[in-house]
Amino acid sequence: MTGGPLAPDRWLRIEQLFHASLELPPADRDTFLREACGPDEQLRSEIEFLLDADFQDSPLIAGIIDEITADLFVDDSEAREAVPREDA
Amino acid sequence: MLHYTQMDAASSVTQLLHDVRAGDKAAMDRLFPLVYSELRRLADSCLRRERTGHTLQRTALVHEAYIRLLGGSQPDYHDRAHFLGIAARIMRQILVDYARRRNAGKRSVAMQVPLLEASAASVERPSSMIELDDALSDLEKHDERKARLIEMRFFGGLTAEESAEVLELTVPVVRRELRLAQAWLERELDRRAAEPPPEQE
Repeated sequence: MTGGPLAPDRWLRIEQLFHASLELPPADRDTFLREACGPDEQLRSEIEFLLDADFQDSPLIAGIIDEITADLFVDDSEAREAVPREDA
Repeated sequence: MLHYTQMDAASSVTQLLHDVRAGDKAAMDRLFPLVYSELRRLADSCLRRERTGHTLQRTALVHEAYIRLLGGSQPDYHDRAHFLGIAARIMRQILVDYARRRNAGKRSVAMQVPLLEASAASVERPSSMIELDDALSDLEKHDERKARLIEMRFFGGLTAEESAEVLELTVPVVRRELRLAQAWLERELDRRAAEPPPEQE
């Protein structure tokens, strides 16, 4: 899934079709998307990718935030100056 | 510098929250530094207690700040959700500020080492927290609501119900939007990771 940044109207189209697909039973989504996207394979695969993404916290996003949060607590130089660690 | 007793602080934070919800922008300007300094203070006291971040929950600080600033007053579901929503935004800011400071530190070290190592150091990518923040800011430009939902979920640990309360949406809409927003962000982070690192001065 690489390529240029999405143009706003492209994003809007993806969003409309994504929402419309979600309203349908999963078995009907494929037919619906094939009709709606026509020859635009990329559009269809983009929406299928979004539909496949589970509704769970993204490990990628959570991981980035966890990592920096952990670093802040063990490696904040300002805080370290203010509160010297016993084992430092 | 706070001179309130804890009770006074709780009632003034509650009042400020109500004012913010009523659309008072000045109240937000007063509330923001209160929550910010509480979060910073909690971060510093965690540092004193814990040597590693392994046991630290991503959103524990935000919830701890809520208990400290509002826990003494009558608990109110609406206040709580709104407070967490604001604290989530502040948490994002604290984390990205920290990532930028740390990056700047690395750059200044790189400038002191010989050319060969310096050029190797200069291709180092910026912290992924900065990339996440940039991507989130891009999302904010075309869909502010989705960006807020991500912020509340990941930086504040709000449930779908709490986010629905803050943004006056239904829970299914929150779930749907969140799902789409996080898929978009993941795609965007992948795209950025595939690009060559930005030029550095």
